[in-house]
Amino acid sequence: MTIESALKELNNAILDLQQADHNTYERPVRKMAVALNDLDLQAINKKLKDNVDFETFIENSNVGGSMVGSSQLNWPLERELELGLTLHIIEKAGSDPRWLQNFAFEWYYDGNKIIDGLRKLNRSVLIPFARDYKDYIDNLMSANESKIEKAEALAVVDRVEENRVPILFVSKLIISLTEELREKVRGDNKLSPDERTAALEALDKLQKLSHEAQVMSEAPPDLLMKNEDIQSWAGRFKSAINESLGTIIDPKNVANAAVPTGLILGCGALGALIGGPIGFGAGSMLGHLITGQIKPGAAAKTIEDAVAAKD
Amino acid sequence: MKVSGFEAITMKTNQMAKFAEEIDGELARVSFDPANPASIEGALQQISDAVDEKTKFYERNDWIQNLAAQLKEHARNKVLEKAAAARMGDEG
Repeated sequence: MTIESALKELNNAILDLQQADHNTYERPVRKMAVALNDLDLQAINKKLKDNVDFETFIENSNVGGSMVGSSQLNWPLERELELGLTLHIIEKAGSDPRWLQNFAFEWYYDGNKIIDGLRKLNRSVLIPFARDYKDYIDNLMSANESKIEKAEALAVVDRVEENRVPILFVSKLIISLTEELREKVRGDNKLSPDERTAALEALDKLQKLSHEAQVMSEAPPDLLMKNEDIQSWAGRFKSAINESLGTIIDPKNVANAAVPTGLILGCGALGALIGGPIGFGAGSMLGHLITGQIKPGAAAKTIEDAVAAKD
Repeated sequence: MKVSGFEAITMKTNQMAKFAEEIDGELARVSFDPANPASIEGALQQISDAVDEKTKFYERNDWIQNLAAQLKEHARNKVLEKAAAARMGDEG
């Protein structure tokens, strides 16, 4: 189960509990506990539960006088502590739903009917918990995602700093080779006008990205960190390679493809220098095609698949 | 004016019919997100408050006063049925 589906299961169990009566409340209560016992949530829940002492929470609450319904739980204001305590309640209820019935009667009394106490507990504790818990998990997940994005950005900057000279050299080489290929494409009569236009546009894109790489290789480190184009460069470059090579080596004219080996290797190298392994795949595959290690049809299919996967 | 036993029953019956109609109107008007328990709770509270409010207008009608709790339960079930039906519609 994913975290998303576990949260949906929790929401569904609460909806079921909302509709339940005194004969049917046990099943949704157990389902809530099962949803929260999801493998991906266990570590998070353990941390929340370990932060609180449920028994002390009950001991410190106001049991009221002799009047039924006067007991009042002394809930903490901190959201994480509230979540931890409610997780304890749901865990206990999951293993013994009757315990929840007694707990609700004691602390959420709303008349003599058993179900009225459970309903009050549902609207006062479980429904707000589900809302806050989802927010808590969403925040945790987005914090993790931004950590990963930051690490990826740092990796790109590190690679550029380490490879300034080779990046400068290879990007200049690609610019020069794309010029050569552009002339070949212009003079290739076997290409239809549409195919020629598409190939030239793709080469323009590749050349522009190589220019960017050239500028990047000479940029100061603080600018590298701040520039969002640098972080997205590898993805855009891979997409441009797929598009360029996929356009030029169309299944119809694959046998006539005359892409210089240097361009293919250069694209692979530049992709690897800045973006890591991400940029190397298409270039390396084209190398296999030219050296005859892969059949043209299979190469064209692989490029098509790569382009489709990117889209 | 003296109200006879038969007239009193007729009046109470008419008030009951009007009251039921008013509650049905409230039920038709209430809106909520059927997949969101908090939104449903809000609707249930709204209906419960409406029943309390409308019951006040018929304070001399003991039938309505005695039936208020049952009517609340009936209204609650109606809202929950409506929510469940809407969820089924969304899934289907």
